[in-house]
Amino acid sequence: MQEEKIYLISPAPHIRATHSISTMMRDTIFALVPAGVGAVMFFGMYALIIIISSVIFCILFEILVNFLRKQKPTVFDLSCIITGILFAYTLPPKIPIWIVAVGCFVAIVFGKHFYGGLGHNPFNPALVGRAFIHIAFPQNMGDFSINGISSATPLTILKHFPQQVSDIPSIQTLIWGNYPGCIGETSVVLLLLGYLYLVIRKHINPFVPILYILTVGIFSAIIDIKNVLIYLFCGGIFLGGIFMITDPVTTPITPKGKIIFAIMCGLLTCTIRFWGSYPEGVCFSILFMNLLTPLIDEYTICKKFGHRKI
Amino acid sequence: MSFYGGIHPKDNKKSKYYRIENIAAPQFLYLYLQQHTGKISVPLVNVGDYVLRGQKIAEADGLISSTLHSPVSGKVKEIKEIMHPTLCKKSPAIIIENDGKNTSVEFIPKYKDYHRFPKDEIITYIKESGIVGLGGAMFPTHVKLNPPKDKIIDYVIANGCECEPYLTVDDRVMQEYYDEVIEGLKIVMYIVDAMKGIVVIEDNKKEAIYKIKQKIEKVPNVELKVVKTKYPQGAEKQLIKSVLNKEVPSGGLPMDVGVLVHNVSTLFAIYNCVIKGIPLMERVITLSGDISRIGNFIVPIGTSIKDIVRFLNIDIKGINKVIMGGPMMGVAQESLDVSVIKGTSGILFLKTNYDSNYFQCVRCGKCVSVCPMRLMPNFLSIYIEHKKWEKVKKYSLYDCIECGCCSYICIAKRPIVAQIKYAKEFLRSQN
Repeated sequence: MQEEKIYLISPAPHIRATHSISTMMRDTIFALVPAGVGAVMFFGMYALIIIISSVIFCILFEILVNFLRKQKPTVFDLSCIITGILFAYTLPPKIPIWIVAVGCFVAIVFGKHFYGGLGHNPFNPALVGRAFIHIAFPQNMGDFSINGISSATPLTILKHFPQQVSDIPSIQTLIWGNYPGCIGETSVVLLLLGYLYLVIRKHINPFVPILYILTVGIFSAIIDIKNVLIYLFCGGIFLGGIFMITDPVTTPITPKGKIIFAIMCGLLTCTIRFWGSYPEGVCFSILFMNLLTPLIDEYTICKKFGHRKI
Repeated sequence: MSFYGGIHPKDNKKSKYYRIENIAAPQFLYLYLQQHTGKISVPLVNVGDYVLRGQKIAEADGLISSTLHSPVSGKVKEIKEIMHPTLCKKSPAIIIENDGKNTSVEFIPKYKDYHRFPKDEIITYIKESGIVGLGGAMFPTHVKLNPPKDKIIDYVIANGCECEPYLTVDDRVMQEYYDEVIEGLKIVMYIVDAMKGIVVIEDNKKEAIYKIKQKIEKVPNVELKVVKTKYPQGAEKQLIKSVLNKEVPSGGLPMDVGVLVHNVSTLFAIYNCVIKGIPLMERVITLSGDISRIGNFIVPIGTSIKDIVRFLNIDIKGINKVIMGGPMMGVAQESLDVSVIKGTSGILFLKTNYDSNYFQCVRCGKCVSVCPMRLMPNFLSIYIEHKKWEKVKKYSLYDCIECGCCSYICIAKRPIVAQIKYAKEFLRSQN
């Protein structure tokens, strides 16, 4: 009889929001797609090969680590795919595939699983991989030549060859993205499409990227008002600002902390760009700020309800 | 005006268009001795005794306790321990066999002109009538009405927010018994000497707002405040913050900021008790969920879910979860053999599944942005998991109001509020 039936027991609340980790990751992948299409448009089919091989390597290393750690497969939370895509987007268009493999290995194994996997990694795994190959293979990482003609990124021109400023493409081209640079970071328009999608799906705080980009803009304007738009639209400002400083795991939790994080990242990016030895500073600034995340969290805890002194 | 955080679950208040109906008393009533916060009541009857409708069958034990009345006439069949719906363990109950005659004690509306009686006397009478907070917390009302002498109550808030999805009890009570609710509010204002009464309703209850607004036009010192629909708007502390922009200090009570909050159903019960002399024996509940027969019903306290299902012919095929209370804070029941208690605001029959798997916290910060107490649920959850009790206390475990917003929003599906309840229970057992 029905009456003898034992009903399901579970703790309250009995209704849950529909978002889960995998839906968040899936939406982030969707948001990254336009920039990938742009990469193929601007840099040819080899860009697609880089992206796909990067994703495949990341999945393989993830499975390998799962096997070694004797844990359940974690591929299905899709985070390794995002790592793969983000990592590929920060590579120059002619990078050899074996370097991609090395970078993916560092990203997944050293960047993520050495700390305990998703949720425990202090650094953004994609950026760990990128930073490693940036230092290990500077020759390959600095090669932005297209069709045999050597060319430099606008940021390199501004930093090292100021006499060639006229070689920098027009601002419209910089916004559209068809100029030498890392494959996924050149197109501002396509990255903004991803931003809009993430904001509409409520996965990221819309103000964090804006704050970051504004900070970089204001700082650059103070130093070099003439080329401020080039500083803004070139390099990884939009890719980093939209997809990396909004990464949940490696950035502060508190609303105030997120703001501090974004502003500090912007300041550091500009500091590295103007006074460091590298023309680009997004990667290292975010990695450095990742390090400060626990500290920021500790000092920006919200004032609890009812703890105000009367 | 609002409070920090909160969530917007789908409200599912389908039953708000259904008038309140009566449910006949079943053959057996199961009256738990613990129908309130505080000490368990002491039974006044023995097995085999004949009791009348409205007769007191259990006495309050001490100050923070409450009395109990029989909603039917009949014989006391047994006093034994049966499963309690909210304590989730066996608890003593008086089982009364209904003789169907409904022979009643005479209800004397002695305090009809309550203005002419001393306040203490009315408070004692409310205690004798077994009135507790009907919003769900079941805190004895007479304790709330009797604040320490140094606390001055300025405002009495009638809480008609009902922010839990599905439930429509308060909504219906305000629509159909607005006179009684306002009168109950005036009684409370008289007892605590409050200068102002405020009826607070969420903006999704248009009909109730309309009715109450018309009613209080000519009533001095009572006003209506409409607040945003948001969970947990009806939580005492959040409500006070929304309406008066005052924060109840941590560990304190609303009376610390000069406010007294009563649910509108409680005010209705106070009206029945003071003006009509009827003790608390029945209450309005919502039946809702994935069933066809939904609505709002007056149910005698002690009616088991099984009897309600049988009386209304509810088709429970495919239902795999039965919840007493709302979906956010209610308690899932193992069987239909539990009964309605004073704090039961609804019974939900749901077709749902629950996946107990959860993942590592990915630090997305959603729980922090929805926590109405501005706590850090993610850290609480992680530290509880690792049994770091010092850290748990540092992150203000005891400030948690267990509203469940964090668990609701968590993308890693962590049962944060369940962990917090466990931690509170664990730390209590340690001391």
